[in-house]
Amino acid sequence: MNFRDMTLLEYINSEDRVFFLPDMATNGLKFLNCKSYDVYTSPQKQLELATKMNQEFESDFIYSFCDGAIFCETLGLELLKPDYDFPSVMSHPVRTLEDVQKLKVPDPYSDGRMPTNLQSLGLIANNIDKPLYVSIQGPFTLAVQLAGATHLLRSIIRNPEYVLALLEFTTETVLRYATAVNKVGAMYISISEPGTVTLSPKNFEKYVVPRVNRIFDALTCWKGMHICGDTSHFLDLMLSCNLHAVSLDQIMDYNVVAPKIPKDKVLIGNLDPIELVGRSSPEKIQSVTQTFCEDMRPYNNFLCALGCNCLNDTPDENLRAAIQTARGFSKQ
Amino acid sequence: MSFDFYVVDSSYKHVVGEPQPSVPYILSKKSVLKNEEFGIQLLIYSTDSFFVHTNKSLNLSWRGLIDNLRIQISATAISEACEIDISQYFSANLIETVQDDNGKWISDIISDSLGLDCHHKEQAVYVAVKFPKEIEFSSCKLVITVHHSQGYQSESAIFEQEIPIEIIEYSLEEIVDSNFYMDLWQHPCNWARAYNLPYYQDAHFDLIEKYFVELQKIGQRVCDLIISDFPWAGQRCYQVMENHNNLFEFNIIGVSKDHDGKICCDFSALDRYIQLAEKYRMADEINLFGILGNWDARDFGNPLVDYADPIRIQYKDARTGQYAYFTTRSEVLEYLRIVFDHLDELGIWEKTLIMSDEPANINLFEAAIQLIDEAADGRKIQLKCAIHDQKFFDKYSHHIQSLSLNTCEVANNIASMDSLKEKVAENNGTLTWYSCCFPTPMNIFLKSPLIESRLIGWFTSYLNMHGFLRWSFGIWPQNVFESASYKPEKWAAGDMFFVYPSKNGAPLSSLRLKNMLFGLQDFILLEKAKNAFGREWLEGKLSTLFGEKSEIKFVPEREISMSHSLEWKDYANFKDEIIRKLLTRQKHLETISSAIINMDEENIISLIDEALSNNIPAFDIYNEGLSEGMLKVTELFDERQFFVSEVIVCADTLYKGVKYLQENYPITSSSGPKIVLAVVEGDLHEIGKNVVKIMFEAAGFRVIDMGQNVSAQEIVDTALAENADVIGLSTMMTTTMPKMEEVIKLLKQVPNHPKVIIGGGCINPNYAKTIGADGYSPNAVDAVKLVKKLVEV
Repeated sequence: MNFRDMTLLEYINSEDRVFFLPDMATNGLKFLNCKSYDVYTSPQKQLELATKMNQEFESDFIYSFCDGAIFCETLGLELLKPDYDFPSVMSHPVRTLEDVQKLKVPDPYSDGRMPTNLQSLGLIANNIDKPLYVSIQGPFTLAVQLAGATHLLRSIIRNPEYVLALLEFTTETVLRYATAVNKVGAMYISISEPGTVTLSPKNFEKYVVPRVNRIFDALTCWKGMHICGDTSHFLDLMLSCNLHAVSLDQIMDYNVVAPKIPKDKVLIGNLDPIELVGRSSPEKIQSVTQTFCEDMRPYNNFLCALGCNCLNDTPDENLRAAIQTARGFSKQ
Repeated sequence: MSFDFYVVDSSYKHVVGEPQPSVPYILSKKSVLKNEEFGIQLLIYSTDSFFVHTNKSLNLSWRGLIDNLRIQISATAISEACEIDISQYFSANLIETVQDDNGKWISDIISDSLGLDCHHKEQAVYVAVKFPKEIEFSSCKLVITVHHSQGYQSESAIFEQEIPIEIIEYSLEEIVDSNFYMDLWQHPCNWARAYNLPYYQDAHFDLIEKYFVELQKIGQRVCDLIISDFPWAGQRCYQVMENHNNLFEFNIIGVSKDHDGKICCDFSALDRYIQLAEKYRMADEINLFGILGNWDARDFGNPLVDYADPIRIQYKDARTGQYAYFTTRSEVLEYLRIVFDHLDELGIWEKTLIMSDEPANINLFEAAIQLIDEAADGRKIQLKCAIHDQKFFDKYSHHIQSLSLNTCEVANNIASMDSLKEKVAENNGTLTWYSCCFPTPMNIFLKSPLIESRLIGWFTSYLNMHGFLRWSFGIWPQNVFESASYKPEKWAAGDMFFVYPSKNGAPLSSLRLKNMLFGLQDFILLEKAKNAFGREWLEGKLSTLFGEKSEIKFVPEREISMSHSLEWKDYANFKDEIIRKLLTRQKHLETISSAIINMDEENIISLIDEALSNNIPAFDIYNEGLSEGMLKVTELFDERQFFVSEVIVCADTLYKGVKYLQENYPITSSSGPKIVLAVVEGDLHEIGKNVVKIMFEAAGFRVIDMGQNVSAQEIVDTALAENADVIGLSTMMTTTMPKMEEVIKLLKQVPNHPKVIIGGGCINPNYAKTIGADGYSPNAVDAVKLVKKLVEV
């Protein structure tokens, strides 16, 4: 059976070994000797990069050069654009309800660099026969980028009307783009919501759950969510969303987390991308990964991955050590 | 047989045979703060002797079926229309009498006997209570019942008094946590002798610990080490035959000479004593006794042939197997070098002061300083003196780090107390006062008005001194329970002790000690009032109770005159006034604090205005209202009751209040440690850093917020220009983590650079260690704790 006909859970159990989902992005720029925006602006480069990454660090998914700033760039926000790293938002101009009302939901097929991205993803999906994994910024995190974290979190108490209006806009923006990404061949879309980690369970339930569900409901692919940091206080709420997988930060103890995950949902993670994969030796990585996979052996809903983005200068042999050890681990 | 009963305050002095208390002393109600200990007395007068006990069941005198009184204490509080028994907070002890120099029997010993035969036909009973801070009742009802029986008759209640007690919603801190500097000298060898224990063996240390428990209750700060033999020469105790007393104290250090004649010291007892003192928080300061200004070379002699100060040090000579005394200055010098090195190795040299008890001879004193200086071998020596000699005070007091002045010297120098205090404070010293065998006023003798024991705390506050020193806590003549009189021509009975040696080893408290404790609790309130309402206000009030300071006069040779009130009601009324004022103040400050927690940005200014109109200083509003509220927010955040949204809005309320105060009142900006915060270059995630900033400001730090995307060089330049204590770096992105290391590398090129802590979503402790940061914190609350530890706040 082809992976396209499988659920995520079936896919990761289609062989007697642990599967690995990488998200390494900037580590590949050196192979192509190009800068971030060289890749962002060229579907061909995206394909080249994905192909190269698949050769150098063969895993169970393919992926494009991660584009977390696509929405903000399309909406015209000022960006810091390092040559060899992801862009960051420099200002947060959407401060009032009036500002929100002036915003127009971008059309992924015509606005900004979105069509280029769709083209890139389609190329990758059609040329490499592995599930295409795409991480897309979630509506709350996009709202954080537009409004600024402090202002948005303050407004949750002081100006909920503005927050709801902004989230309505961001949800629609993400939904349209994610649907388009789904259509061009993405097999697994992960909604990335790091901006929600500061929320109370009550606010997570109120502001995050219904909106990501709206997006998930519109998607036909595998659906997951990733949140950085300590998510123990609202993990149950994450799991209550209409998703197939959750991916958590390396600070979460998977020996504690894994028993809490329903058997029909995939738990993704969470090798330490910094101390372990970034700064230690291949031998150490092999040993830790081996132990980790051993710990996760009872859980057939486990998909090995890094807890978060890895360091730009992570040695290639370290990345290979992590991926190969996990993928070589027999579940029997 | 008939009985009379009176309930009176703890400061009422009961003397057998004296008139029964009159109306002003009768107590009918009581107010008490949470965590405040208080005591009252039940006085029983009868026409014949009787047996009295506090057992819950039957008890009998050895004299059989004589008149038998059983004291019963019960207490109830009302909660939601139900009566709740709170008797467990109360205790009742019989008070034993002790004979004064004039033969009168004075109630003083808070006995641990459950029953006593009352031959005097008069008996006092001590009822005590201390409600915990957590108690939720605002009032209770204490009922004291006396049941009488005789022969095989059934008991009948012959006395019952109900005393309503108001439990005031104001928590008193423990004395040990207050800023009262208690310095009661310890005589461990005397304690050992009372129980026939070998010096500094296990049983002796068990006993010492029991005494330390009592000393801690009254906030003892100083650990006394006697490091020579009998420095006071037994105060000529060998001359007193009647009710004799062994007043010799022995060296806590075991001294010997080896086969080569080299001096060796066994510090095991000294080390254990210090450890025990530390356990009971009474080692803020270490005092060395016996090496400066030792007593009585004339009558008791001096084993040293070439040194005038009679330092007596026994040692065991391995060559002869016998004990001998040092005879030369050089031996003492060698010994002191070993001792000082040891104290230095223990890390306590900085807080060690060399004590001199009432020095008078300046030449002798200077020669001793020379010897000690030589032995210190370049270390700074610190001196402390208890002074009763004005000439010595005039000529030498400026060389001494810590001073304790006899009440006479206080009277002599009362106009210069403030400058004296400033001077000792410059050397991190303390200024205390003491009474000893003189003068008569403000003393703790059995003959003294009992209230004067309580006034020790009050007088200290009035004098604006750090605390109180007393030459003894527990030294007793042979038959102290029969007669406390010892050398009455010099030492009034009670001079030597606050406690009595009980049969089970734990010291028995006295009414004088309890009253002193109550006075120390009062001191805490007085100091709070001083801080809250100003020293001028407080001293103005206290002058009506103690008389003007200028009227406190030295009366040669060993007396003072002062016109202080001896009526507790006068003091109690003022205490009540203070409490009411503090409560009003607390209410305002708590309202402001609550407004921060409740995010009441709208009303914060009007609440501040209200507090200001009630004469609460702007700085107190800032410190105890606004900041206090934010600290509670920090706690709620720590407990995950609040999240970042709440913290931000609480901080908005705080900033609004602070801005208003700063714009309208010259409040001093915080003088806390300074921290530079920045998100490193390439990273624009501000929220973590902003929450950290809020927490640091709440904790009283001065924060310089450099924002996000800041270069390593800019961070280092700013931190150095601002003379910051700490740099706090944050990043959320793995890709910008190396920028933290850049900051540390730059800093390492600078001597005495600020410490660096790091945090952020992708950071962990190992990374902090790898790049050489001084610490890592996973969240804002822990960041504050970490930095407090790093800069020793």
